[in-house]
Amino acid sequence: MNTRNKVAHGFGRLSVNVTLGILVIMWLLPTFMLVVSSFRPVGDMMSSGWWSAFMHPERFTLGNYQLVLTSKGIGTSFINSLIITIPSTILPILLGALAAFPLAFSKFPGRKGFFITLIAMQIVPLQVVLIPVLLLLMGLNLNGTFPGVWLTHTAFGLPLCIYIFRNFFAQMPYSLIEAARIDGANNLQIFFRLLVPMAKPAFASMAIFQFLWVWNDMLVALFVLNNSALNPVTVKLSSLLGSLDAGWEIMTPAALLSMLLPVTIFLLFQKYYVRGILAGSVKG
Amino acid sequence: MTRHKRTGDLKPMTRKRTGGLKSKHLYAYLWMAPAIILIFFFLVLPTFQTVKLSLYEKISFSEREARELLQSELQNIKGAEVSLSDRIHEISGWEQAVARIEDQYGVAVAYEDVGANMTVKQTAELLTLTVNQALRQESSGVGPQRFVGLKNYMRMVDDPEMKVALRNNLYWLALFTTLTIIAGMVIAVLSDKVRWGKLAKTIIFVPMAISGAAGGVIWYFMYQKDVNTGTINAIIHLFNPQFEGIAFLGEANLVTFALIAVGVWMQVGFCTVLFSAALQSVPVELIEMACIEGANSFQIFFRIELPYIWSTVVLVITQMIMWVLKVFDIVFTMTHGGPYGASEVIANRIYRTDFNLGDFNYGSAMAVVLFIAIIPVLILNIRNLSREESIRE
Amino acid sequence: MKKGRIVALLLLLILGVFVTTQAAFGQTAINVLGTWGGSELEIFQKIADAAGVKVNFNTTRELDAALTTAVQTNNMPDIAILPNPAKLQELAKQGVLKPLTYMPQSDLKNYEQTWIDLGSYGGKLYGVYFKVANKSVVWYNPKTFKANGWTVPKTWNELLELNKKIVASGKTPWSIGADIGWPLTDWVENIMVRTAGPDVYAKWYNHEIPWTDPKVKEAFMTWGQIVGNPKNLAGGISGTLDATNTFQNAAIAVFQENPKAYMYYEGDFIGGIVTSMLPNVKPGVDIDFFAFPPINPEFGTPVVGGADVFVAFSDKPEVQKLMKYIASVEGNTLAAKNGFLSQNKAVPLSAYPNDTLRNSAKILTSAKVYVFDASDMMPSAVGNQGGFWDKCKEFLANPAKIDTILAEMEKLAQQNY
Repeated sequence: MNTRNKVAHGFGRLSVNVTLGILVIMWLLPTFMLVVSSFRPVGDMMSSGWWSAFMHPERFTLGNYQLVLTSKGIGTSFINSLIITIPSTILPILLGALAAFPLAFSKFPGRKGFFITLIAMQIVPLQVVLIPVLLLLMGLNLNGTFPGVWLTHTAFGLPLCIYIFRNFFAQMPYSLIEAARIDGANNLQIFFRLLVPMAKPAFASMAIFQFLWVWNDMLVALFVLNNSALNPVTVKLSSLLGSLDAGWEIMTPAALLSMLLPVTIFLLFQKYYVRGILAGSVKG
Repeated sequence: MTRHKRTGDLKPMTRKRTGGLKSKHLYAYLWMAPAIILIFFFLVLPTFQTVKLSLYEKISFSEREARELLQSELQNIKGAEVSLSDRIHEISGWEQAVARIEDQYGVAVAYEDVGANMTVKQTAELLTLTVNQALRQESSGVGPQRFVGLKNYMRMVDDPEMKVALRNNLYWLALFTTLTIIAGMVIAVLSDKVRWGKLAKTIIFVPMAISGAAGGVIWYFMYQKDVNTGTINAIIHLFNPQFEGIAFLGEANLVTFALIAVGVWMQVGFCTVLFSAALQSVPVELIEMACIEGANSFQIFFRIELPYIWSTVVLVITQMIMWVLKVFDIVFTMTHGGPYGASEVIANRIYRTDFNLGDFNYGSAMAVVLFIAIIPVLILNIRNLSREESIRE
Repeated sequence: MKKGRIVALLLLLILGVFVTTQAAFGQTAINVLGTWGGSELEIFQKIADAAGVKVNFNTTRELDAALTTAVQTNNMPDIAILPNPAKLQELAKQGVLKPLTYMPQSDLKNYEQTWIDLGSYGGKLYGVYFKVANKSVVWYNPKTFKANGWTVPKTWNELLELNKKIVASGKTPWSIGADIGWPLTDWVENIMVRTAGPDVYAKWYNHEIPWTDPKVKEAFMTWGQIVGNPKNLAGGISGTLDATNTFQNAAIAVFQENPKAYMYYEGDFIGGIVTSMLPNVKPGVDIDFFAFPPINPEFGTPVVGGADVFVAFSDKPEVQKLMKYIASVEGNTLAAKNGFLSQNKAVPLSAYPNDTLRNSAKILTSAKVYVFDASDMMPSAVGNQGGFWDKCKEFLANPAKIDTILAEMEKLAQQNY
């Protein structure tokens, strides 16, 4: 790091700071605006800019948060969100890592075809295959249940998971794996004792991706669950809006609240995240 | 490399007991089985169904058909003009007219359902309903279909809305991909050179954690035309008091670019983090050497760093193209494709065609166009794979 | 530590299964699908409770998508609350709705025949209309009007005069929330029924006259007398068409501290929206409405309205119970007490909680001519997005293109009726 900083000649240090500063402000401003707005009465939000709130600090209110946090069933929906998100994050990562192992280390027939399918399937938008997926779940009698949602999220998360894990595994020093084989370790032992610990960053980074996706999802929850008692936070919040409401008073705090957990997780895992994806992509 | 070869020989030896070459790969299929099964049933099979649907057309019995059929049958019997508002019971022999249509479609309408004061129009409605109910019962899922070849694709050719959507998708593809990559790279390079770089990267990454709906809320307030409420217009107004505000989401030739900006805001964090991580991996010795030789920052970046992290750039480009081709959330929550379709994109068109208009056949044809668009991305990745394997051999 | 995490996960899984199965046990509740949320949903729950029916209500802003999916996968809710008659027709046509043969005549006689016809298909009743809206009112601020010496216009010409007067004083008369398009179609519909009369209006939405008919063009051009001049509109043309200019935002603009405009046209529900967001605005003092003025005296002051409609996909006893209650005097009176407008003639005006609602109800039940929102009567490909909604926006952006616009609408209509 230090060496690198020393290398930064040519660019004036000031101009680097200023340019980056401007970019960061540009990126921060919209979120900051959301924070300020969420503490304003809805009428103010609609009739004056968020900056004018600072001229009337007495008008700041917790009312919007109160409205959201005290609404009936919001606690249950939060638990539902966790019930949906946790297995939907763990399953694709586990199954994806398992599938990526042979894909990275064995030359079995059909390997290339599978790899191509993996990449191609990342383009499929959910809304295109929604009906067949629902019919499938109904056939399995999993429609309207949590396991149905888990399976759907897992299936849709798998292609990217396998793709990244395969790239990651392919970068691992092959000599280590050979050494383990010579010591008589079988594939299962190699996977759990060697790869999993080494691939911690990859697991962490995929966990964040998948978590973000599932946590913010509304489509799967809406169509697969189709039951107000099982709704996650995203769907619950949208049901707080009347059909003719603008709903800013609910949407602003809701947007912030729904960001909290993913951002916290990102901050906690940030260092893993960087290393994980990196190893999956950079050729050593 | 030699060690690799040797273990390659070793593996079948230790495994011989369980039965030669095939069992060596058996574990591979076993380990992949859960993933393969899920991907096959949830993604591959539905994708094939989509392709199939795109070559078919829904069979339905329209009310207009029923009306015209019934009217002409009744006129034949009565030998005079029959109006839709005539009471059907007043036309003697109406039962025969209804029966003839029933025979034609193999359905049965209960005559007692045709009430004494029902009009010809209402009877036609009853027929429509009965025939459609029968059609529905004899086919499951998507309903009765007939093969029409490429008709749905031909429809796209003279669909003006489709042209706008395609054009906008191209704008997205060109601008969004370039901007996220460049901005991501600039931010990564710059944050590498300052002490608060990690904080900067975190801030840039935060929008990634925001859902499409929440992002829509934020940018509603950013883009309002009024200089008293719209953040961006207010900032311009600050420098130019005469400025009256731009309707970013109201001008047909501006709206797509305004939405692309939102997309860039949300996705740049992804690029930044990857690039910055990749840059960290460039061996310091290489850079120091260049410094000693008198290279400046630009030369170091373009001659040493960029080539070194090229495969990361390829991966990021792939992911951005995937993202941009199916861009939907932002357009859907912010403009619904408006004003009058000016910001329409393919994924949004698919959604509307499938779910609002119930035309899954045409929607599927659009989806297939989307699938075809990723073929170049596939080729890029297959080449990459082959190269990787040739290195490892 | 790791084990602790695994145990926690397992517990969550068990909890999940528990919640799932619990939901499965509570099967006596019937599934209702609709766009209602927030306070509407609370009122509906009260009504369902009063009917003695347990309800699992799924709120969605994507009702079309939810219904299409439900029909395609043959996994229908028990009851759906539709916002437009066209959807009822579409579903009835497909044969997925259950006729309401069990409705007692004594309840149905409290409805005008129009409502029965709107809910019927093939001679059978499929829907009960509930929570009606009067979309023929113009909102204004009586205080500001008085301060400026403006008076409420009684005719279209007076409205245009007032418009001119406001512009002359350097102010902007109208705020129009184009939103995704429906408020604009409501304008055209109100003008159409006033210039061409209710019979032609009905022919228009049934596509018995073409869109290229001079009567249709006349309605658009009459509207153009107001929207054709950007000076008449807050934010000008582009500001009106802006996606951030929702119908709620546009309404607020008239009643906020520094109003951007002085008149706002949309349904009777606007009052509630404005006062809930601007608590300082007092109904009858700072906000009031006048009837959308007549244009051709021959056709007077008809009311264009909208309403939600209950349809049933099953015949379960609970469904029958709820549907009957929705059509009953008791159910409608309870709804009225909670602020839903009812068209049921047996509901006493005294049931409404305030004068504004009472006035709306009076206008509604005493209207000589009541026509339904035409865009809701047309097939959705014609009446909604991609059709009428978008074409109104196009007209606003470029009124000179009127002939092309109408020709395109006609083409669309020919494909979809």
